[in-house]
Amino acid sequence: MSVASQQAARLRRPRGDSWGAAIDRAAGFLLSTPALAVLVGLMLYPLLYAIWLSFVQWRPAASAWIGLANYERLFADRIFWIGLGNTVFYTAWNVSAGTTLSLSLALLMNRPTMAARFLRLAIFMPAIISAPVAAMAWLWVFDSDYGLLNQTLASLGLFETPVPWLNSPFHARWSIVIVNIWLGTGLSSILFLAGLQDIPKELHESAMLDGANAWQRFWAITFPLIRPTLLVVLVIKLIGSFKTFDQIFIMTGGGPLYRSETILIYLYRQGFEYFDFGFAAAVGVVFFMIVAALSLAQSLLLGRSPK
Amino acid sequence: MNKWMITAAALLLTTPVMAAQNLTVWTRISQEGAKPFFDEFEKRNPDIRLQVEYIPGGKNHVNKLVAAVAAGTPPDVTTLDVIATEGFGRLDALLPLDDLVKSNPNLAEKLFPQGPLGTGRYEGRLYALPFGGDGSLIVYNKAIFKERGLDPNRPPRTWDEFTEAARKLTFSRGGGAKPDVYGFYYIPSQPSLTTFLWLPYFWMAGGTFNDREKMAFTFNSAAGERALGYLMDLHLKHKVVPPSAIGAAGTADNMVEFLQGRVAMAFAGPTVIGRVARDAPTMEIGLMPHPTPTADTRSTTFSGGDNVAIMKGISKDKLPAAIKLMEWLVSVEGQRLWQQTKFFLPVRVELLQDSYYATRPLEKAALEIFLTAHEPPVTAHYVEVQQYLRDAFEETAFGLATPKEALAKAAGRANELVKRTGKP
Repeated sequence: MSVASQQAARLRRPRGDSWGAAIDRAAGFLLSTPALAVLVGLMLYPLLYAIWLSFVQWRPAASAWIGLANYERLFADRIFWIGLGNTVFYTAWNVSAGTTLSLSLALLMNRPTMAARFLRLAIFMPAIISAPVAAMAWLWVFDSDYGLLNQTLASLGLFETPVPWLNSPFHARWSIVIVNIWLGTGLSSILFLAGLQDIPKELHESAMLDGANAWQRFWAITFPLIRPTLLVVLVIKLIGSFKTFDQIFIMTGGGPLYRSETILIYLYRQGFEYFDFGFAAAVGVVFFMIVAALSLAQSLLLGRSPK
Repeated sequence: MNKWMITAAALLLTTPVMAAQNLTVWTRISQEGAKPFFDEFEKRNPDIRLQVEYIPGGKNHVNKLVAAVAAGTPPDVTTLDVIATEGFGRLDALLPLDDLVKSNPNLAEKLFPQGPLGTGRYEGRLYALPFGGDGSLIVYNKAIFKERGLDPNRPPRTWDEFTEAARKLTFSRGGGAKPDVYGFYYIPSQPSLTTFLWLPYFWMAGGTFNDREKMAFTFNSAAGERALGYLMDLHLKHKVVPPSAIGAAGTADNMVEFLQGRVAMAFAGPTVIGRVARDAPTMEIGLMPHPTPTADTRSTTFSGGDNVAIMKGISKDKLPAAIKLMEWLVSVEGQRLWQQTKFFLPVRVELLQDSYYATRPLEKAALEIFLTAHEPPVTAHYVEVQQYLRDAFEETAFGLATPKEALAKAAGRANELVKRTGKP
């Protein structure tokens, strides 16, 4: 190759590289287009549409712009605050008690015994049952006259008057907490178990040689190493608890006296019973902002910012 | 030449098929309940093809229909819960029928009982016609009546008689202090059930639900308090209703206790006949109208069931076929099919004379009760107000308010709604 042709090739190469890079970028864009289209069509557009909807009085033919009126009405509605309060109540219990229980069960399951294997199966079972089916089953467990729970308690002689698990304003919320935890424990236990099994055994062995007891080993080794799993479990439980709907709708419908009402049941009633979609969208937007803020705060608190 | 002639002949032969009009129809009624209506219509009208979508479950149907209206893709014709008719009228999603019923003798208003017909009205306009009837009534267990020395062929007629009977029917077979059979059953937490039950008592007590001219709800009257007080006393004072009914979820099955023989009388609808035949075939039952406050008051009921409506977005070329379908569905011959499917009661008075009912006293009783139905409240906010009333019932049942206080609160919320929307 002559010197001239070598120079020409050198001169062409950068241009060729930039073309190549451009083609690479175009190919990347084209390949991600289907996913982007799905994202825009099924997530971004509905989100923006819901935000717009929250500022109008919705009518199929011609919706009327009413500014912040839906939000003003929402924040002045006592039942919205009851629903929000209950949603926070369910979430707090599901995240705190549910996570603690899941981790405890995972520690029990993290043993090479037959009992641990059976426990894994038994605990994961609720996760594969759909929430409405589970709710129907729990209706019969909690039935005050014929329910399994009251019958068992009565046979043990623990009370004379049946406990109205779902019928009393006091008990209904706690019954829902029990079902929420029961439904959510299977998946989070298995996630914790996977996290626990990733911890090298040598760490525990050397700690034991150093004289550390089980409690010390848990806080010094296990807990720091399962922090990433804990973050995942907390985010799943937090968002999952906030959007709990099926079991409450079936078991109590939000009652009695709105004592088990959640923000989503409130939203459903406004949208699909009163057909007030503008107002329901305002509820949805507030709900979205709360969940987004909580997820972000949780990620920051646990030392990881979302990417 | 032959080729052209064959092609022309083929085109001519296929013309009727190509001209067949397609109509999309949605219904919340199950296939067993509604298919015979549509099959028979297609048989009688081979030029019209129906694409029927069965969407069982009232809420599923309403949700899907709302979504379709919002997306601008509704069906051509729909049957819909009488309670949902007002909502779709409010959304301006249904075709007004006022001119049609005036000009078409097959759809004339006078053909239908006024109560059920009223469920198709919204803001003074008619949007739907009655298709299937479902009036509230009381079912009773004849064996328990006999066991307690009551005449099963003469059920209680007045409020006092009803209370007295319910007290006699509340007893313990085992001799314990706690009854194992209760006189009556209803759940105060179900919005539709509460109005379905309370409104007949309210009307019979002389109540007026709202005053459209004054733009105000007036159900917090002496009549309202009397009706609510009467029903709540059955729970709280006379204790003839199982305590577990208070606070039971809106989705609870209110027939379970009755079917198990733990309740002598229960608030129900005509479908109870089929339900008892299926789930408790040996149980002998009777049906009675709601008892009246005095012996000379006429009993009434709430008109439930389904209406049939044409959607507003229907194209002009499909409209004649839709009208034809509507004519068939509400015709005497069409309505006779309810005797076969038993999903609802017929909405045509003429059918009461059918020999079919001579041998079916329960179905006849249900139809007679349905035909006494009161015209429902005319308001733009029925569903919301129903919820407010449910809250009032619950507050009273849990002892948090007197009927007067609870109804005043419900009326206050309802009137707030009128003020905000400017619609009575």
